[in-house]
Amino acid sequence: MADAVANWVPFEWPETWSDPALLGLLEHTSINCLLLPASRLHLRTAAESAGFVCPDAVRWQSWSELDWPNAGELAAIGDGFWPEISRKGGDSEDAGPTGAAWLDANGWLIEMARARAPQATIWLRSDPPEDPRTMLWTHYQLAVAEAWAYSARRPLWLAPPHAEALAAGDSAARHSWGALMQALTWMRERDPWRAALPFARLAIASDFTGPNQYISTETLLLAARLGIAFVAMERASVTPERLREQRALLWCDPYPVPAALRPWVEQGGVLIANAGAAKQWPRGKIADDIHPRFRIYSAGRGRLIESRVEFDDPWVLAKDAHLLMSRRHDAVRLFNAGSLQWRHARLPGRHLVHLLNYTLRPPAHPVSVQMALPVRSALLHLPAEAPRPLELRRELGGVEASLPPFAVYAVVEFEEES
Amino acid sequence: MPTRREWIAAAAGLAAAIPARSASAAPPVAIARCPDYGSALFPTLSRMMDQLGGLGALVRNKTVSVKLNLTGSPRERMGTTPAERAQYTHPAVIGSMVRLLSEAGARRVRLLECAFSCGEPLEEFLYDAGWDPLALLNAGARVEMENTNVTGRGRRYHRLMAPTPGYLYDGFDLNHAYDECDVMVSISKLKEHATCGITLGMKNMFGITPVTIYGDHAGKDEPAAEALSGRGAIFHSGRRQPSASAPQEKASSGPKDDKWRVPRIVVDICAARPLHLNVIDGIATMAGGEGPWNRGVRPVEPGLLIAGFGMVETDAAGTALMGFDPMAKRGQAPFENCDSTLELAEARGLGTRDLARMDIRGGRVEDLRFRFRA
Repeated sequence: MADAVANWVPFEWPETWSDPALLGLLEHTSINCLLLPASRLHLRTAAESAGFVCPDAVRWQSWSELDWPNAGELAAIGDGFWPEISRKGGDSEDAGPTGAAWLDANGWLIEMARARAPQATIWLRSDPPEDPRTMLWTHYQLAVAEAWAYSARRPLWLAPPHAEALAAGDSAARHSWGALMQALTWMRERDPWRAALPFARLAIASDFTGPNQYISTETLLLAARLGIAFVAMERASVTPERLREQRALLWCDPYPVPAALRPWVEQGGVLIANAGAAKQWPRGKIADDIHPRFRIYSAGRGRLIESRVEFDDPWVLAKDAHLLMSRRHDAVRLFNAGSLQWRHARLPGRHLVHLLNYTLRPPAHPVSVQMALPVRSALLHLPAEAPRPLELRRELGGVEASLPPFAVYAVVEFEEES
Repeated sequence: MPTRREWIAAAAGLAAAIPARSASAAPPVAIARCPDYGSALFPTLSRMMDQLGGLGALVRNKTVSVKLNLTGSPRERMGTTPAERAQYTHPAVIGSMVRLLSEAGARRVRLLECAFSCGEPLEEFLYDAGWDPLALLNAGARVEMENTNVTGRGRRYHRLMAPTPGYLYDGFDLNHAYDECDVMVSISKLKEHATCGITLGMKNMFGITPVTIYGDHAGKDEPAAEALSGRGAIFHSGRRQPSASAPQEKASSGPKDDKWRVPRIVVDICAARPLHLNVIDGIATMAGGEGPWNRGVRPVEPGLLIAGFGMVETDAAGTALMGFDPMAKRGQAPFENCDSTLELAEARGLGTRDLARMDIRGGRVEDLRFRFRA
């Protein structure tokens, strides 16, 4: 039995499953935690006898209402998104390669949750998609992998048609279920990856609450959609020591930036502050006064960049923050990754680039991952497959690895040069 | 030496003091084999400029604007082929030309592009492609970059009118850098094109038009504040006019077909903002289209460089080196489904596409030809 919440691999027992014999479907899988619906509590004894954890009702809450500082060991977000390509976004013009589909993705939300409750295990669920009949079994793999890639968990949930087919012994359903279980096993075998911390040159700090919630959380969401790597930081936790890997800090809130951050700026950091948030700081020479939205001051070897007015457009702010830092500092670039989301995380000596494909079908052109940091080898990890080496080639912006087609999820593990 | 723009103005009788070229004196075109972007590149380009008569008379103490060819998103690739070996002008060619222009005495060199669907600094756009813009900025004495989708260092858009009436447009509102320059250079890529059959130096100039005025999200009355999207609604399909502040499309009975419209608009742009120097990178490129978004494209390595002072002549030589007949009309390769930009430009008086009337230096077309549709 998995004794720590962090090790629970949860499954939402379907309402339509009344036969305890269906527990047999979970034998020899990584699932060790069952979320039983109220109508199926009579299965609890059998489930616990079989070694499953059956927690009392999990307190799912809206992320905006969760008491983050007192989240305890489990922070359960009940209002995530079902991960998919949304029909509501994108540019409809058909001339040339313009526009991009909108993705309903949760990475930004988990990064914020991790910043606000760093000790908690993060669980995430969402309302099911509008029409579960259109779902593929690979949707579940994306849903589970998305949370896992960001070091959180999404309880595995099955749409009623799939749950019923599986319970009825439908051979295609059993086959798809088997593949899903293999993917979960593959993730369990890589449990140490969950300790990897996000790696990005840009930090975005806020208390993510009250009047600051909209601009800060929307900026996280839109930065993720723009493919901008960031580390979310709880405002009160930002120190020069925590900014060792960062080149820029976006201070989202109209709240004074601590003077303790000045040495970090003067040693080369770029502080992008909301209007008035750095008014106590001494001003250096104006380095650039033509930016329409910011005044840019020299500060030692770094920059103090102060917004002319309070931040109000998170899309513009996310793009501005990235450009004010400069893309030259990007550690990872992806090519042909239009409908992918990715997360760069670091373990000692290794970098992990998680790639999530929201189209659920292989891209038309192969995805290439360019790494600007010194690395000497790369391994490709695909769910339920053994890792295999990727050829590295040198291109103008760094070393690159190109991936074979993948429909849902892949991870490139780079080994740092020693 | 009269500049190309002066020549067109002279031909139109607008600058009587400047002698017009005689029809038979087509400007020379230099062609060369260059196997890669390595050590042979700079000396090859240098020799080609010498074959043209040198750059000094053209650029000494002048401001030189250079239009690059960076079509599409920097994050989009044809398979695993980096953009600079497919749809983008290679930075090594750009850097070599900057150095040559600078060494020839150019007072200032501006590298320009309406960067795909954005108004951000061109330097940042290049970083997104994995390039190092500092290498280009340091390739000459005074080098600048500008994303010409927006006003940039200018306070307003500048109006450039052609000396003669256009097919669809008589003039355009453009970033200041296309007006505030003495010499206009294109450094394009040797490619086929889904709409125009081929895209070389002249078609490259299609990309000088700011999407704030000519893009799908252009402002109705004034240029949009933000640069977004492509040029489908206005230039390709003619579904709407550019921002009302700019010269409007003229009434026309022509079809709303981009294969009829775009070649004409390209010629209109080139008449309003003529090229003085046309350089085409055909070392490593793509066949079958202009970008990864076209079906059936493939990487090719023709190992070619083409350069000339005449925009039509240089494009005609490039077309011939691709294995096509520059005299081809609509219905003939590479213009099977579109009008020939070369023919329209010639009819407009911008130069000749007739190889028999041209002075091609550095090699023979038949020896260097690389058939794009082998």
